[in-house]
Amino acid sequence: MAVTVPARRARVFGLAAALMVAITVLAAALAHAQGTSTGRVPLPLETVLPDLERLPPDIRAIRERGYLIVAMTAQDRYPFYYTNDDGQLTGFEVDMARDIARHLGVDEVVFDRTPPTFNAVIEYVNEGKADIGLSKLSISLPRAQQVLFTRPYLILPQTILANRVALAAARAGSNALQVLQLPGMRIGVIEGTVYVEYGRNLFPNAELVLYDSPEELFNAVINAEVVATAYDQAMTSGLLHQRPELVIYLQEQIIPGIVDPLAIAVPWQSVWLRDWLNTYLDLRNEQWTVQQLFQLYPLPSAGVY
Amino acid sequence: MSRIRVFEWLTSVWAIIAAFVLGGLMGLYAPGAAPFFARIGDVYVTFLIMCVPPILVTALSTSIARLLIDPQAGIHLGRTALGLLASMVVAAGLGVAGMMIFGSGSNLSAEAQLILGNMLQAVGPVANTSSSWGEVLMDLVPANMVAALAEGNYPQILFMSVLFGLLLGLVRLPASDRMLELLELVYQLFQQAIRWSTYILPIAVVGIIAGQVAQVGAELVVALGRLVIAQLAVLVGAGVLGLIVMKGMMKISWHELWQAMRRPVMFGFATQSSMAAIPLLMEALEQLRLPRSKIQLIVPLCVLIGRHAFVMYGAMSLIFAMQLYQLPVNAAAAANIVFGSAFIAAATAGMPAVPFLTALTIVARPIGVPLEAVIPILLAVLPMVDPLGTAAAVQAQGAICSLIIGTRESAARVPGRDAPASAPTASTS
Repeated sequence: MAVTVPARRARVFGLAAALMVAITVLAAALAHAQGTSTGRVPLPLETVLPDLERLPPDIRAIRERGYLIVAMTAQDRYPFYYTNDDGQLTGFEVDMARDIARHLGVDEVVFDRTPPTFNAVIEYVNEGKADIGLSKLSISLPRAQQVLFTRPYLILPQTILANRVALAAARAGSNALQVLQLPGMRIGVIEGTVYVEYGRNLFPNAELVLYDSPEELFNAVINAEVVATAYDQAMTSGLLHQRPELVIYLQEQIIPGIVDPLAIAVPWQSVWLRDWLNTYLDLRNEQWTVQQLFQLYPLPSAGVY
Repeated sequence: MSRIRVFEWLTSVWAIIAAFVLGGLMGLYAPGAAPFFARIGDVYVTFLIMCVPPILVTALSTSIARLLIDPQAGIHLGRTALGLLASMVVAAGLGVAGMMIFGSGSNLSAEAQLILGNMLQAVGPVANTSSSWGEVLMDLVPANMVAALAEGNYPQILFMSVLFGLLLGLVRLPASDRMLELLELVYQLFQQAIRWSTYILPIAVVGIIAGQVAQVGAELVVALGRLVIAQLAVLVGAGVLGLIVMKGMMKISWHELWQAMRRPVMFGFATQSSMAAIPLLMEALEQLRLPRSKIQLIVPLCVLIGRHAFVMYGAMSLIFAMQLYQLPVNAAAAANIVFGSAFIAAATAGMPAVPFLTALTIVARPIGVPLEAVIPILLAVLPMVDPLGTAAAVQAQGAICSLIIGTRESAARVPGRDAPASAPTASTS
């Protein structure tokens, strides 16, 4: 039963409808034409350097030597410091170290890769064998007794990387933080890291399984030997960035309330250098996410894990 | 004359097909222009969705009220519920069977896994909303009626409409009849708005399709070819089943049946919104000489609750997940999936695909199936299958309505289809 409309009114209606369509098209075109762009401005380099005799001893020593010594662990940590396809050391922290050297007024950076572990980097800096330790170093209270830390330049969220099938097998939903509260859940962590302690505190009913390397740990999660692992986002997202197909099988979840602040370590005597580095970081005023770093630093074709 | 013919052509199957082809070509060869045209399509669908709540509220409340006032009209609610449940279980069963036959989720190639992984990373994690069966039912009562309407919370709108209809029918006051006439008026006005809007449907379809084609990309089709084929096969099967049931119930020729059903089915195909097709489906059933008073009650209920396309998508998603993660599909799990998807589809009445698929975790949880990574995959292929899915659903809903209303009324055919014998407006004046 169609409603009948007189011919003239039909024409008016037709016109009104055509007008409405035209306005819609115009509005859509205008909305579509708008765009935004963002850009990151690098910190400008001062051309005139202060005289040597005006400098405090710790900064002066670097200027006199002519190069900056940066301690980093022997093992690469993508995207912070790693070897690219051209065989060159690159990464977020490598670029930052070079930028720091330029602003200090030295041309060269020596990357000392002797320390085998992160704690060894701290000891190395504490002994004055390097000017700075810039090696994905987490601030911790025991470490802060041995070295001075700058303010954080990157705050890494901490994550749970769970095997989706193993998680669902508990029949308790997909929120890993809740499911891992159940008794008897197996959680993998790397021995000697803060995550052993975190695991115990966050998941008191779980059974912690210790692994030696990220490779072993990740394989255990992929093969469902453990339900999940606790690690920082750079590692878990890095794995998924390198092997995207794993996203089908693994679920990454940020642990709310716990963060891992990364900072530069300097010898405890180098107070002026530490203050200068804080000023440097203040002026850089950058806030990065791990995902942005993945975009900026391409994966080496050989992979990193 | 010629202008009338142009207008007629604009509502024909050919205009829609032409618009589909044009939109498809634009999406493939001019993806830069696609977002612009997609916006126009979006505005059209938004307009249709805007028209749905008033139609829904007025159609449901007036027909329930009239059923209570005039008990001779016969209450079919029990039959409606049974018919809907049975048809949805059949739909879910079809979905499960289709996925088992095609095995779409098992043995994905490394390339396909990589494509899916990249896609999953691009879309990010799904919101974690694991609610339970009880919560879904408790949410039916709105805390705020205006908020329910404003948010388009269809289960709550449904509850309100039924309540309003019951009150109007039970509490007889002098103004009740005028209220009923007013509601009837609102219903007819919006129905007319949708009817008129079908003239610009082809333009909107160009935009809708161009946007979808540009969005999907050929890569995903390669990765999920078997899933898409399984879905299309099941949907075609469901649509044909609906036609056969309807033909059997109505005892009419194929030509007569298609003449009536073509507009709502094509409209569903083009707009991918079975709710927006409600007015046209009602009109088609009237054309097939089913009594209008019952159509007004049963069609909105059937379309809102009997979401046959979603039931199939839901059942297929769960089986796809089980195949993907190499979990054994046993009888208990299959039964869980069939009944669970039917319940979730009904309980999320009127909601779009995302909340529906998210709510499916309620079914997935007790059978230990991880669904979070599968939801974005299913959403990504949805644009490819949803036109056919909505058309099949509209056809299925037409079939269920004819089943519920039954042959007796249609056998006692009134002479003219516009005769006011059963029209509610006549009974009150």
